[in-house]
Amino acid sequence: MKQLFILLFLASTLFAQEYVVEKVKGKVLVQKGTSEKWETVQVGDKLNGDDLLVTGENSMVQLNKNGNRFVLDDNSALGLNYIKKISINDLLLALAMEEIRNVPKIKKSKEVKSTAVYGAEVSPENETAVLENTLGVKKLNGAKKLAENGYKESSVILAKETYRKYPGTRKRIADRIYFADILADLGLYQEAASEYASIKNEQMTDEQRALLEKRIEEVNLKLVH
Amino acid sequence: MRKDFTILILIMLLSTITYSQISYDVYGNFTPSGKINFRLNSLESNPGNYSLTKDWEFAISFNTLFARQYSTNLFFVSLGKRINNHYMYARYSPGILKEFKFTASKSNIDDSLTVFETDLMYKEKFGLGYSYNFTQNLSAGVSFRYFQQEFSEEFPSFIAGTDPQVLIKEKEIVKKHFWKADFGINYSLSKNLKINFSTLNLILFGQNYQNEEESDFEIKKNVFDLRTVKNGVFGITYSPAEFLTVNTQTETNGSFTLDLGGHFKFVNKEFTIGLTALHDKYQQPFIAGIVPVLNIANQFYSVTLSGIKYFSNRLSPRRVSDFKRIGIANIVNNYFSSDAAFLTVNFALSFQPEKYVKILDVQILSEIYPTLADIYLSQPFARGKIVNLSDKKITVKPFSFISEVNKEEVQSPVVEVMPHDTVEVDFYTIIDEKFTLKRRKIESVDFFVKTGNSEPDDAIQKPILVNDENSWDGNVRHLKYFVEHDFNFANQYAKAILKNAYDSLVNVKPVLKKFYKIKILFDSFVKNMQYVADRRASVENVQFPSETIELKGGDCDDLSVSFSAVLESIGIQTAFVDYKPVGNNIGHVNLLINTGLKPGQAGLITSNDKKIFIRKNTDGKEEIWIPLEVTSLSGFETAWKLGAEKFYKNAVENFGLAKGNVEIIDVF
Repeated sequence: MKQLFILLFLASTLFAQEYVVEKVKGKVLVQKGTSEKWETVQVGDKLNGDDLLVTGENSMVQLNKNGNRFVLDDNSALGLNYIKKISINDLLLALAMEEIRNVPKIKKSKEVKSTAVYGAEVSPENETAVLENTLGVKKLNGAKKLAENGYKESSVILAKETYRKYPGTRKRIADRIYFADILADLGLYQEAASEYASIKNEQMTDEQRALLEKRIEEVNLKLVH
Repeated sequence: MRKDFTILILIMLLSTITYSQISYDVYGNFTPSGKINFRLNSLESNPGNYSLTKDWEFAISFNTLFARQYSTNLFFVSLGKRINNHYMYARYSPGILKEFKFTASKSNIDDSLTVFETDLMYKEKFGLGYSYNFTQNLSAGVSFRYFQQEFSEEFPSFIAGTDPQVLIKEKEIVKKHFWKADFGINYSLSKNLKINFSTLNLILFGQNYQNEEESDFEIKKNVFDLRTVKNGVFGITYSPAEFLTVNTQTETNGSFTLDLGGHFKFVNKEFTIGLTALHDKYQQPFIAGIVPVLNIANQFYSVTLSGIKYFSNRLSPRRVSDFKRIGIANIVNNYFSSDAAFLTVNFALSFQPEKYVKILDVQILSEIYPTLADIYLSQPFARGKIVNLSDKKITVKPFSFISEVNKEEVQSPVVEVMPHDTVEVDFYTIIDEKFTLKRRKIESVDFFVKTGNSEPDDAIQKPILVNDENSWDGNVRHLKYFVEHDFNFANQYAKAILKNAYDSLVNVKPVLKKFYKIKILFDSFVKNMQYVADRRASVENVQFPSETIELKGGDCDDLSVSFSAVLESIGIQTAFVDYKPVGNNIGHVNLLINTGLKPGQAGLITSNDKKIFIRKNTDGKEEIWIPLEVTSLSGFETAWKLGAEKFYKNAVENFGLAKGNVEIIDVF
């Protein structure tokens, strides 16, 4: 599937400003803010930065914002607030949030102990409803297109977010190497090395493993020097 | 009548301890090393009244003179008292006196001789001293000494109208007295190096006489008066090692002393052995004499044996002309003092046990919030600065007692303090479980430090604000203490609601039961609940969960605390989300709640991934947490949506978590 993502305003920064839908082809849906509803996108609709656009097979949507146009091609998903240039520092902050967000392993305060028991009621694994990974894959596609059009930092953040919320996408080794490569391209060798290391334990083809080893060697050389 | 008088000098040392030049002291010139807190000098070498005395000190001194006559006399008694930085000293010294007698004879007509005596008596009766410690290292003070001179001179007289003329002796008596005032300053440059400066004969006052230069009687002239030339003394005391002290005092007239003192401890007593060499402008040879000193001290008493040995012959008669020319600048030690050996014993008694540690200050670090009691076990509420006054390493036990709050003294961790070192010491406290306070109140807190097991070495009292039990210090981390306050109540409350919702829950898939419990509990919790802002007050207040539920109202802190307690009481993990005030945005608190769902199960509860937040638990497993705006009282779905919007925008999209503008604080 060929995806095309055209950005005509590489240098502009777009926050929660209004987008106008100029062209729609096929099935294009939008999820506004924190709404649970999916709405069909039609020409003339106005979209905000916190809206999520999703395109189906053989679909596309063209948006216009202050005279700047872009096209989101098929099988992609993108929160419009990701279409922005962010600094390396903000990217590092976003990566730092990975640890901050977790439950502390060592309780900072030992003086208070809860008497509550954090137990989970046992539920068979087969009862769990797995969230559609398709949306996760579409989000990765959207992230890759962001990177191809110069929004490398945003693309890494989106990819990380996707891997977290859609665990099934973590198995897509080629994509993971792709986004780890972006970190290396940005000069974030330590972060890239960490990412490559986390991929290493996944199942992959011999070709992918060879590529991964090569990348690890390259980034280690950069770190040494 | 023969007019030629043959004058001989007979110097009789009636009662004296030998002083050398003006500033020489009976103890030699060694200064207390810091190991000895008694005053081992008097006003002669220490006009600045410097002392390490801690409280009351009484001293009595006797002297024994082994000269031409053997006699034992009370030399002086003194009383010293320290009140904080002030030190006062008074001395009565009946033994500081010296008498000189000159005899002359006159031939009578029958060739018999009549002897005429001139008697010179010098006394120093009283001494007073005052000093002030400006800092631990700087002391300055003044001293006043009262002197008396009693001179008598016999002269021949003839009885009128007798033939041959009858010669009789008559006596002229002159009494004089005056005060001397001097100033001194002592400064410790370091633990090993001290300097001092003092004046000698700075001010004379209260004199009751005028010398009569033209008088027929020499005792009325100034030739025999105590010399009171103004001088200054500069001294240095250096301790190259703990056991050794070198001291030198140099007067501006050229006289000096050089002292070497050794210190050691034996059978719990401090021993000092000193030897002082004297160079006196008015005495020969260059080193006129030496003064050996032995001092034995503990914290209760001090005994000093001292003596002086001159290197010139002091027993031969001296000429009156020499006496007139040289004079005496010091009553008891001068050019005419006998070569003598003597024994001096000093006793000094302190009426309080020695204090090893002093509190310099205590700073209150935080008010007392009774509900946050546990934080005071790990976080000091006050920090003091203490100094080790002794020469040894000590172990200090800090204590505090907050009236009304503590049932008994609370001991904080002990600290070890090196000799003369100053350290900080933290005070922790334990708030009595039964302590309740409905209104804020200022209480007093007693801080004290002990080095032994009985009486404190030092104590200080400070006021402290004790808040009521609903007061909160504004730190979101501390809201958990309000959560746990009503755990039993919250548990009963939650169970009652879930019991009523049994039918709704029974058919829910097990994996979703926790999520639906959250939903059911919240919908019930907010029923008839109202948002009520805090009252205007200087301190923030937080209601306990039972109060919020019973009052059916509260602000974001109250509602977050209360609903967190409800969930935590039945084992559902919660965390406060602390939105810190940034720019014009005011601070806010709401909740993150662990649904227990795995990331891949998010589709069971939402189709919008902005409404979930993935966190790894302590086992490294990822779970779905949901933000809940507890002040949204219109139901679970709205509260979740509003909570998610705020959380996603502030914590995730704007990197609030990484920038510190948003903080997730796990309740337990």
